[in-house]
Amino acid sequence: MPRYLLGRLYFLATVLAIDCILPSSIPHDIALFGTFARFGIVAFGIFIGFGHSRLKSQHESLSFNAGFFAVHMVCVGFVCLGFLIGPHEFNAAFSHAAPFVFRAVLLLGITLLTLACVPFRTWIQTIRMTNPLWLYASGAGLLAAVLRNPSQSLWDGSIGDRGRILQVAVFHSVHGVLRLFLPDVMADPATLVIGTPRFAVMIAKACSGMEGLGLTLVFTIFWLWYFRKEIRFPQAVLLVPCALGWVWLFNIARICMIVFIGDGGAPDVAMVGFHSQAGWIAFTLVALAFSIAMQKLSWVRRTALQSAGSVSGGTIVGEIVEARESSATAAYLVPFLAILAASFISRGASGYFEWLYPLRFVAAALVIWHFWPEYRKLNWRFSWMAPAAGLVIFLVWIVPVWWMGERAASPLGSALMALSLPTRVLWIVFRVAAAVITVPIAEELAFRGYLARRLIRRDFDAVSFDQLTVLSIGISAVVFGLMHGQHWLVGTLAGVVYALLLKRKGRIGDAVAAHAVSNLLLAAWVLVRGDWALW
Amino acid sequence: MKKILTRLFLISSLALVLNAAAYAGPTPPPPPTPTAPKKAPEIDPGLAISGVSLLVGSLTVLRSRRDK
Repeated sequence: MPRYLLGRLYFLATVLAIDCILPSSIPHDIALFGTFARFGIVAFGIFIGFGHSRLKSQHESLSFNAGFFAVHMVCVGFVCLGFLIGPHEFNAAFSHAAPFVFRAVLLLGITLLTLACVPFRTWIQTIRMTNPLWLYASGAGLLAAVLRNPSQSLWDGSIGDRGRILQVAVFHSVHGVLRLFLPDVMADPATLVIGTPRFAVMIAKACSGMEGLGLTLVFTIFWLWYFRKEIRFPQAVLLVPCALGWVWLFNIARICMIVFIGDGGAPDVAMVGFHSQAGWIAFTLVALAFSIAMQKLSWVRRTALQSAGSVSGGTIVGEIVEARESSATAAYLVPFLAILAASFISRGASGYFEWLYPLRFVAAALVIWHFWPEYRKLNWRFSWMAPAAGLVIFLVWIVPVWWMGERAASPLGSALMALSLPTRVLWIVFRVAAAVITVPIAEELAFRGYLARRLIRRDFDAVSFDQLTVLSIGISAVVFGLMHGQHWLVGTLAGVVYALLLKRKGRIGDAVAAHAVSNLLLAAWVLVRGDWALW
Repeated sequence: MKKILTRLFLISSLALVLNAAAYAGPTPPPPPTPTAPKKAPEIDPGLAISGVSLLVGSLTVLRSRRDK
């Protein structure tokens, strides 16, 4: 439990988030707080965000009221239980009052939680200390609540007559582009369906560009805030609408490409691979371009002396030592990034079968070859424990599948059988080679070689492998596990085992060998049993 | 007791978040029919972890090269 004010406020925010997630994960038709929730979230965020340094300076140890906290949990439990049972099942008289009862109980719970984490006296002191921040935070919260409907009318037709502005704009833009290239374009403004007699798409809410605009807005604002000492204001803010404009144009290009590909006879590629990859590729490109512009353009980037001047309140200090990432970062991360980038491209060009998978192997192999002089400094030898650990991870991965006796459906097997024999063999060879050679090297370098050590020190290559800590092993293993989708738990366990092996032996070779053996055995299992869903 | 409760709370929160992330996987669209118009959402939430990893990793490499 955090002792000081800022940590206690973070704790409060975490518990509040869980309080919101729990009832909302149960199907119900009662809006608990509506507008008040938007006001509260924004006002709280602004208060903590802008008052961060002053709140952090408070080092008075705070008491925690466990009784209030327990009653708060009872209140949240009551609401969840009510949603589970259903308000209409309580009784006829109570069902009309249910929304008010639930709101009152939840409000009581949140109030008690607030007072449990931070005593009332401390709240008053904090508001006085940060005055007039509470006023700005309340104003921002009010603005968020008021602007909700107008902003949502950009894409939501149910909000009012002027809804779907973004969808209509995308529709007309796509129509304008398609008419230049296709002779038989069909467009229905009423249903927002556009395409050709052979293939058409509907410009739905999710196609309106809102998601890309939202992600880009969050990224650019976060960047401006995080690197505020390196950036000149207000000119840097001008790059935000530029980034938004580009991601909007990319979305129009994406929809045009979907129609071109579908009309050209590959509807599977258009709707399965391309549409889902293209949005992420566009956002990544725009975000990278934005960050490069922030670093390269002299009219938005401060010099080191200007940065130092702003830090020290206008006084230029002597020598400036910037916090630096290690120059070895690229050698450890680029192979894994190459696999990720290649996977976006190969899946984007595929339908249900990823025919371009060999690109992942080739991309990683080229990068590993490029950085090989760096890797020669590492110890690639391994002991018998590495294959043994690899075997254990394989068994942990496979035993539940074998025990359940159910094979998940996968189109991969039938897609492979549809290929000619030489093509099928070639694809499988590349798939196995990637699993056994490039993937273990790239992932061990990224997760154990870089991330697990970077969590200890910025100059991670100065940290020897036997210095890995419980926390660094745990966090890097969880991130590694999350990369494995619904197999996240086994993936996390595998990450822990590879990291422990690395820590014990002090050689990257042991982790890579264990990882390679796990993947090799898994590949053999898939090929022998035809359990394609595991690939 | 307090320590145990704190750890239980942290572990259950972590499991909740991880489950949400893991099961936000891509929902494979049904095979398209030739006549019906399709929807093509811009961002696939199932690719969030890969997408964010690629972006954060690339930015880290870019900044390390700038600092050289």
